[in-house]
Amino acid sequence: MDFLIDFFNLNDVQWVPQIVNIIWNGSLYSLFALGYALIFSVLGVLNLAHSAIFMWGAYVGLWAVCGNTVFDGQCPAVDVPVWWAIPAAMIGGGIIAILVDRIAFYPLRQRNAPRLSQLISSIGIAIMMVAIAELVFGKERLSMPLDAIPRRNFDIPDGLSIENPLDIGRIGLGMYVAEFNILLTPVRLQIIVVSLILMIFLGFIVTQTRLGQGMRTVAFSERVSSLLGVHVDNIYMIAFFISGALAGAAGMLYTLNSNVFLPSTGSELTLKGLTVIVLGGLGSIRGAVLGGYLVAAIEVYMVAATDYGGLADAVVFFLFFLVLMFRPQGILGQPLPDRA
Amino acid sequence: MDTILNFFDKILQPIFEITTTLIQPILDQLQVIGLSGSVVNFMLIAAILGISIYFTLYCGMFSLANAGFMAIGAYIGAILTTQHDASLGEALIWGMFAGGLIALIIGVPMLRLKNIYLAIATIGFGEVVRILIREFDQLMGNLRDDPTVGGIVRDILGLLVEDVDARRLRITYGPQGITRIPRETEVAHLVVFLLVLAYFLYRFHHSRMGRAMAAIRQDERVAASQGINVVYYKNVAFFIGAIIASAAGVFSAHTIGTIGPEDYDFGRAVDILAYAVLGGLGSWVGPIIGGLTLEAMPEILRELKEYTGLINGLILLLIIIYLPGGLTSLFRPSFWLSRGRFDTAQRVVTAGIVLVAICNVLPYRLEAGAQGRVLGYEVWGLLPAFISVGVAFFLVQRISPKPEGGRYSVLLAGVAAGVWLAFLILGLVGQIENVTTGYYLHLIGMALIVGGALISYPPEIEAASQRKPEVA
Repeated sequence: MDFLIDFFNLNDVQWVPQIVNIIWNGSLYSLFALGYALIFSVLGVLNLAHSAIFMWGAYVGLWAVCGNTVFDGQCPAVDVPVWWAIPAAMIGGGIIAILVDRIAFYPLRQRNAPRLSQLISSIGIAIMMVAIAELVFGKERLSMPLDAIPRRNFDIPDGLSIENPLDIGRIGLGMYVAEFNILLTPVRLQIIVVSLILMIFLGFIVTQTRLGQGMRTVAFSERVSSLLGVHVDNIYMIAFFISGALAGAAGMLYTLNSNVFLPSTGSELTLKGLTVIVLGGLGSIRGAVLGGYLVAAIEVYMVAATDYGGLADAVVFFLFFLVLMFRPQGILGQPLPDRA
Repeated sequence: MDTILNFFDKILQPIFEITTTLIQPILDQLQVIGLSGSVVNFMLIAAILGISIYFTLYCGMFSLANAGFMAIGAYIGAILTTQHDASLGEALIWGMFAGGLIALIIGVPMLRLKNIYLAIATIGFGEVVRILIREFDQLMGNLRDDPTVGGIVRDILGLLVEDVDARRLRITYGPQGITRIPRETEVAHLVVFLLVLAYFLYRFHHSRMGRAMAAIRQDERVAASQGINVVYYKNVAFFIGAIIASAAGVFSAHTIGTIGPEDYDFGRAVDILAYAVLGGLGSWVGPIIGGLTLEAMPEILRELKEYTGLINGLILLLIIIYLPGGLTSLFRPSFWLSRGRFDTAQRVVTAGIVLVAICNVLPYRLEAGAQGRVLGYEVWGLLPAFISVGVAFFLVQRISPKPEGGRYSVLLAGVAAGVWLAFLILGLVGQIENVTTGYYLHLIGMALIVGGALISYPPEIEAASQRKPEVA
């Protein structure tokens, strides 16, 4: 154990804050990747527009709490509780995902086009959605007013002072637990709680309900399931709605944490989400969750324990490369025939 | 090495001069419609990039690694010309060599993957290249000072920079990238390179290698059973694509003058894919036409610069859904000589769309080039065109295989016709200046579309049975 700690250079790492970081970052990644994985398992296509849905979900949530002023590129006041944005973002994301399906995937499914055409068309619609968001909401960043997002002001902990600029953020943003050096903000707690609830809920739907059974049948074979009386089109629509709702929730939580709304938000998650679902296992729900925490752990490790924080993504991609080479079905995935 | 280069210089220099004089009239024409200077360079580079991805796609491999190879070529070339005073020719050779070498190394393990897995792995490769370039200086600086591997790293770095022991290494210059690269790429270089490639590609289709790759695309197992060495040909295709992409990288770095790691991100890989998809994979002209068109589009539609992303995404989407053969399928007689009534309707409508699209852009550009900016026309002339093209593409889908489609198509053709009529009337009343032949071409295009929609009505039932079941 000591050897391992030395080898990975973990002596100077403060454990508790980094583990908290891993949990909340990982929850976000998992939540995002779940929708990706759901579509991949049901349709067998990669929906690269998923991050665009994520971004649109965040904007819809912002619109719901902020009103029509968002179209002018500003958000002066939030009148309703800010948490209402999350269900709004979920519904908005779900509807947008259904639209994406109808525009980009449905015509190709009808034609029995190759899966790769669907990948290309999803790239096309993703580019379009980002461009439309730039036209509608402007290219400048949007933020909620600072007082809208609950920040609990606890008593100023010992060892911190208002004078020190480094401490001001810690004091204002949430609860700073001095003995562990961690910062608990309501948003981060919310991310963890909402993600866990949604993950469990999705797992329940897929494994326990008749709907989930239908999804798994469609994933197995579209023809067989339509012979068995499963309404394939409905299954597709519901799968897209759920995936979009998860993306919307992830988008809203992500932007609530950073309080920066930009049309390019989430573009970095397109590829990160890809690594998440490949590491965990393409199309596997549990794999997506595992992959999310794994990627978060690697990132946090690279930043906290080594000098190469900028290389975190490269390490993730290298691992992803190795997984693809030697275990393309991922850590938790089913064996697949699609390999030479 | 120097004597060889001198020899090549002697042969190539007259060729470049002749090419320059030959293409000058074409360049003058292009300038009239707003394509000048480095835009032409970028168009030609895009065509080269289109060819680079064409090889892998032709062999049935969906590889998005070409942006990564482009980055390798660009950086190697730029380092050589900025730090070693190399000529463009030398930079090109070493850039292609580096790209090819890396393609050989990673190709063997990576090309075992297929379909979507290969696509994902190549996306990952591109990202790793980009991040490594961004962090290269810091990483190498640390490795150099490492006691165990320091010696080897020094030797390798010695090839790139002279001062290996500098306190801070400056090779790729981190996130801000390399600046002040000599802008040595000329149009003639690109034209000659592209012509050589095009000839190679043209011959390639009927060569043993081309046939083998086509067979692999059709069915790998059958190809293998016919004695084709699948692994070998896949690696060759990947290798050729990589060296062409590296060459394009060298050229582009010496056109822009500034490169950074973010120029070669996932978006670039998608752009390269879009060149090939837009042009079509049916023939060797496809990627060239696709690259030229897509790169020229933002310049021709300069007034719509705000909408570039929208238009690019829309093009990708519409082409992949409604014109899977790409633009080149429009040039095939077999596309127009169809079998049934539905197909005829679809072809007629497509002809109308193409006509409308062309006549919306060209007359305006020609006039604007000759007389300066034409106010009013630019926005209002293009807006209805885009609406109507969108509607018309929707029509094509509606007309085609679904029996109940005919009714909608007539309705939507009516909408499109209404938009155009409003536009025409506005033009004739004098709200829009410069009523040109473009308007009459508009009328013809509209008539073709409405006519096509009418041909398909009443719907025929047999069309429904033409859908083939998916073969596993």
